[in-house]
Amino acid sequence: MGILSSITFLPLLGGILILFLPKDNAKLIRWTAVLFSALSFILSLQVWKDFDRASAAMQFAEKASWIPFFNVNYSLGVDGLSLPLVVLTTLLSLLSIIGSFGIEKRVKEYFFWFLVLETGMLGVFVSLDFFLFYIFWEVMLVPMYFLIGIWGGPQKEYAAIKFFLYTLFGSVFMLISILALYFKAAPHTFDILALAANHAMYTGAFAVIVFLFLFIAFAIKVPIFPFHTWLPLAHVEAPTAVSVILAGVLLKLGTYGMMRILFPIFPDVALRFAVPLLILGFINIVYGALCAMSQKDMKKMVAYSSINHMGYALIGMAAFTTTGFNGAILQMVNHGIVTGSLFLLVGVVYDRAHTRDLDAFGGLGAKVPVYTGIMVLASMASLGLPGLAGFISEFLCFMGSFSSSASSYRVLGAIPVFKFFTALSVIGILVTAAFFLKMIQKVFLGPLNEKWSDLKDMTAVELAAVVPLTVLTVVIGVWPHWLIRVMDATVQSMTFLVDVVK
Amino acid sequence: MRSWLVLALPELTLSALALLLLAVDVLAVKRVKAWALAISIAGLMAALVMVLTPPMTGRSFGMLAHDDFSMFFKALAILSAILILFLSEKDEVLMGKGCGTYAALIVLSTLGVLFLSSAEDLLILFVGLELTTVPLFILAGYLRRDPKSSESAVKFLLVGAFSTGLMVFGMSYLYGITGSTSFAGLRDWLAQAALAGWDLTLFIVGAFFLLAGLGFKMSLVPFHQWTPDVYHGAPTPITAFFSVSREAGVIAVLLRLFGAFISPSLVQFAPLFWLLSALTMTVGNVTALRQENLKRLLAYSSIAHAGTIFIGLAAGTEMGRQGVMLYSFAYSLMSIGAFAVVIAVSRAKKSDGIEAIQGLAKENLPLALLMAFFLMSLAGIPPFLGFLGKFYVFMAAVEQRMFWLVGIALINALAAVYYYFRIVHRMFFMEPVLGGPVPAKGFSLGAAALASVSALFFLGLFPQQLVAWIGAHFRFLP
Repeated sequence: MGILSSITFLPLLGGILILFLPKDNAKLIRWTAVLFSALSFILSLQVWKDFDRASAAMQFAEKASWIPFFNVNYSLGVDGLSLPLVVLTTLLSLLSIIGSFGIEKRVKEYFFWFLVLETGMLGVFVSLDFFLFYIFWEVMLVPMYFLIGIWGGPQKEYAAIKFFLYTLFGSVFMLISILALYFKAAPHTFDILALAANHAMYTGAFAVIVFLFLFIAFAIKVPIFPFHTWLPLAHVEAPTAVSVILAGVLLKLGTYGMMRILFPIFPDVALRFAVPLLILGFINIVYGALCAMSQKDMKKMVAYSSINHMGYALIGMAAFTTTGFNGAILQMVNHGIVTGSLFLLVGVVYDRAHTRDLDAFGGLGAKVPVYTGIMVLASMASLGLPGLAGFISEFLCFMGSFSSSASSYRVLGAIPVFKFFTALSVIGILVTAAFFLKMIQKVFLGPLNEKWSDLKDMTAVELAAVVPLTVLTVVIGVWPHWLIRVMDATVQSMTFLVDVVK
Repeated sequence: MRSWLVLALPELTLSALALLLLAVDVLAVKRVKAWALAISIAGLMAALVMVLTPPMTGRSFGMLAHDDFSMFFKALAILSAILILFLSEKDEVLMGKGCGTYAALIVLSTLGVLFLSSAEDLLILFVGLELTTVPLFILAGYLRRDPKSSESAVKFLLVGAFSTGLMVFGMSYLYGITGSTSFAGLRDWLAQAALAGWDLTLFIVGAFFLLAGLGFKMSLVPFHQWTPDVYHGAPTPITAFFSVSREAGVIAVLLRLFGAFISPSLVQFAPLFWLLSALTMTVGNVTALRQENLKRLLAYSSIAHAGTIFIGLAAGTEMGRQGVMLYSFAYSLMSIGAFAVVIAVSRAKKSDGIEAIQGLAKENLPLALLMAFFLMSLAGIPPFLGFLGKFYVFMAAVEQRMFWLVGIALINALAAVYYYFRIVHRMFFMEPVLGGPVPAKGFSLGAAALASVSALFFLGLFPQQLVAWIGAHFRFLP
């Protein structure tokens, strides 16, 4: 069994094992979950270490015939696009499992579903066969449905089914596209790399329709305006650790799908679609930020800020430049780290105060200094303060988009469209800064609200879940090169593909 | 030995088995009676082995085609019968005083499906269909003291008689025009007519009535109205039996008749198939959305599945036929499995309303997970075999560029997810409302459910053997 298979299926193995553990021994169940996700994480670090940075090819590839009758293969591999996301997933899953130690209700089921979810997410990132990709894509939904629906907030049941059906609605379009591509390709294949290599075969109306279908499927996941309505509900109602996974990993599946499947298979349609994508990214940035600003609930605010942050990745992708793509992938990773820690931190205060209302707090800074320090740092990273992770990737996205030549269209006949919308998108940064600063002011500054005079600071377990993310936020902010170096070769090859079409 | 006898050995075995089981009931000795179940299962197993290791292919009486295709459906029917007998083992009424009769009726109905899968003649088609359904009339009314069960039986009897009438009416036209009752005769006449440019109107009318009669038996919309009431009133193991065996038999006949003998394009049935499929899926799914009774819900869902299976027939290709076979197999397993859980739950709670299953995860997590897996498979969520069945028929339809039908099917699949997950919702997210915790006993029931779920899971993950086997066993006798 190859190392990628091990990374992917170790969590599932742990989940199945948990089903056979005694129900009452919560401690054993928790530590089993930690053990298996930690093993998966360690193996992913091993891949990270042995990964050849200079090559754009798929590495650690595994291929076995699965259903030869349809030419379906069990085909795995990682490149500079998927590897950072794989490691992000194993890391966030491990930390979220540690962050879920507070779960007391139906512990066994919780960790079972959580580990199945991890396998599903990892599978999507490593699979190179469209059929396999789809299977993992679907498999992931079911545990998420249970995790939101059983352990979520007051509206959990509605949130669970809405999330489930909304994403399945996207899958409908994906399934039909998969089949259409399969029959269009000669010889019939589900191999993503082979489909991409034959991209010249998909032309005309066929290419546009299949592109749009796949785009809808991925856009729902990102989510891109106007497909975002499931997100606030699901993020807010989900239990803390699940929100971390939702924001940290699930949203990336959408952008990952676009970069792995949509752009390489339909480069010329994608290039024609650059301006709409740019505008959608712009809407995500500004709309997400404005929505976040008007929230009273801290968790909802962070949820909407995710829409804003994915917008940066979108304009980076729309640029079709090396800088833009690098920025987009880095933004995916950074958003996972920063927003992941924000959700964990909001969860920490909610566990104690049972409220997330911004107006209910005040003056916590002196009462819980450690918590305040970490929270302020994460907020600063999220609003894009230089020296922290968020700044680097947002800057790269803006830079890539500003210098893009993907479209020669000029707004009002004078301003190049990319420059125009990039400039407008900067408003988003301003609004983001405004609402995060407002949050810090209302919650941590000012006189202490007497109601919280016996609030406790973070426990060791909570620190164990958050601190690794905080450290990464600073490290990437100061020295991002080690991360960019992993993806650079792949990104170069992707822009090369697009340049050929031009 | 005469070859036609050897070829029909499974059918003969089942006939003998049914007679033997009837004799068991006459013997008043209690100890012999206890053996009825064992005898019937052993007999069915023997027949299964005979089906799977046929001496050769060929025809019996010039009316029964023993080919690879029929072998698949025969094996499926016998397998379903075995699982159904497992499901009813602990049932006091079915397995009570007249347990031999009960087992004999199941065996006879299965025998009917065996004939149907081999039918190459309108007469055999008629006899096989009656043999399949007449035992079902009796079985549906097995709970004599329950008015719902009697209603179910009477309804099925009336509809059955009516649809048989329609079918025979259609057959009389076909015979009148072509002068032959054999499928091959119909085919030859059509070929001649196409060459000579004869008027096909009467033939089409005949074929249409034949299709309508079969549509009733397969509960295609608009011939489906009887299904929910019959499903609701019949004893639950019988409901499970209804949902698999009868449907498999009819679909086998349709595949053979329209796949090899009456070309749908020649009689202009292609749009009709398209419409029947789309209507059946949509009506089945939409009406299932609001059901508050588990059996009725599964009844409507079985209508919806019949519609989805029909896509493969509408595609009309060899791939479509293979898709139908795979789907039928998957559907039998998941339907029987889901009914097994419903039986276990309703026995403990004395109710088959949707509230009976509420909070099951709290009372009996393994059972709830099992049900969730069956429902996921029914909803077509990977990695279960139900997904592959759907995928296969969709693939056949996309290959024929029937994008709209696949689109309709996919939207339907979404609706189906909603109502299947309403049950999941009740099981996992809500507190139990009816007393009487569900016990973990009932060995044979659990064995049947576990066998089904493992087959769905492992064949879903590693379908190559099954797919290749179907790929090698879908051909008709030339």
